[in-house]
Amino acid sequence: MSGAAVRRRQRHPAIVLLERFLPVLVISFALVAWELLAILNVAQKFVNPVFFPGSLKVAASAWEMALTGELAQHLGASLSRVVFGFSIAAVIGVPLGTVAGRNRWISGLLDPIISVLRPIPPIALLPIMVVWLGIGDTSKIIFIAYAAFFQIFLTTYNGVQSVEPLFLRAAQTLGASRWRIFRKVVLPAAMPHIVTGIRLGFSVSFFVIVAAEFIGASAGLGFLIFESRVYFEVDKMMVAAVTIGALGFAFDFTMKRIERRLFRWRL
Amino acid sequence: MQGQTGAASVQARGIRKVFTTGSTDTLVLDDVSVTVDPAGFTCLLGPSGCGKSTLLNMVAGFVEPDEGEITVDGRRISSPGADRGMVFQEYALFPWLTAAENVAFGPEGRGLPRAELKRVVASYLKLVGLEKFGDHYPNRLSGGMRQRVALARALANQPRVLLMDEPFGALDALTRQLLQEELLRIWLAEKATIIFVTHSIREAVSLATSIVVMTRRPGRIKETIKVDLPYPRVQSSREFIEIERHLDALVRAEVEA
Repeated sequence: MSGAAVRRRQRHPAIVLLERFLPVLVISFALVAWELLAILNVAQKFVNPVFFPGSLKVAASAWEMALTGELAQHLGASLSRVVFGFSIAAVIGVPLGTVAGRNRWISGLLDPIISVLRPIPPIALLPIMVVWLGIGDTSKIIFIAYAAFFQIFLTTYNGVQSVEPLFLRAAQTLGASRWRIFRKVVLPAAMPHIVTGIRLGFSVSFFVIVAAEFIGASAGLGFLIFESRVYFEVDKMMVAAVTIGALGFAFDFTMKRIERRLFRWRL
Repeated sequence: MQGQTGAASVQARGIRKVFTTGSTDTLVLDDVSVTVDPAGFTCLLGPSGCGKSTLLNMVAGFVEPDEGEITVDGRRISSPGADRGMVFQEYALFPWLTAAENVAFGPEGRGLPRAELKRVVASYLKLVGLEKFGDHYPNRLSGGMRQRVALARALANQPRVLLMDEPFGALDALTRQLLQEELLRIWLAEKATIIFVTHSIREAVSLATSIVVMTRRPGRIKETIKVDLPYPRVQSSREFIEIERHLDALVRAEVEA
């Protein structure tokens, strides 16, 4: 890239360093505060100390669960369901959203159905799915697929619909066929929306997997939380919750990187 | 679409167009007839809202007339096509394609072999003086450079008519002047038929062989003026100023009417 480089205002190196490590500092501070609060709780007994493990205890449990393979087992179970369900949602949601965004008849058919289903929280349908599909993996995967589908479909649909009409006109005056316009103009123009939809769809999958695993599972992070509740193993519950958070964060982070790479032309 | 090459003649006959918004009908064009000579540079000149852009969009095939017809070399227009290239005021470059890929868009669609395509793209980028900027994305280019790419993109598709909708309207005065000179150079070299919409009298007199002055809503043809001054035209010459004054009086009467 050429062009004049934008000159940044000079700032003190210490401030630059502080800004860079601010997130790490904040989180470290929170962990220390958490541990201190737990120690204080042991002395003062605000709640039963068993119910409020400190950050060190949770970290120790996480380490132990990692060593015994317990964490990997639950993580693997959840992850495979999420990947399955999310893939189904993406494979149906992206093409359907694309076609609906281009075709008034199809969007006319889908619109009322989606308008009715969308306000229903997917969780409300979980027991119904369990009744229909049993308590095994199928109901969980379909449930995730259902929840993620809306996010992916709607974002794709909006992306395809909001393609600048000027681009379509420009392509028409260049003699492009309908198919070429779709492939070379509509799709690339909508691609940032589609990728965002995929990222949000994956987040939704992680949101709902926990609830799905509360019902009739024998493995998974949601199961781990629910099961540990019975034995008052709050530390394990926290390990599961933090794992889900970390996974979601890692995925979001990676996707945003990929997006920036893919859509350099937007910058 | 290709087949024929060279500059085409364009004719509009008895064009009438009503735009309906809600319950109000607005007559935009009323009994408009224009003849555009092959290889001529025709300017549609008029105050904003006179329907000059609508008329251009009809030639492009984006808008259909309610009455009358538009023909290119005697063939009636019903939809957009590669024979009528267009340059938009807002550039309309595809931001996800580099300058070179934008220029390649038209010829690539016609299935030009790769080597040939590369040659065509290079030659048109060179024509507009951007041979060094082929791999730049549009958002890295200035307004003037973007419009040059847009011009190269339209020309690379070898249209028989080039439609330009206030193409230099968003540019600063100096860039505008430079691009006008470049457009003239290209037009004289390529012998294309150009229909150019503008509301700038000076721009029209600098460029056109024929100026079609339109009335304010509803748009009608007020007067058609042939300009046969040699290029490059000197804006301070007596003839230039005379034509400018005459047009000024015509347009002024419309704005104040």
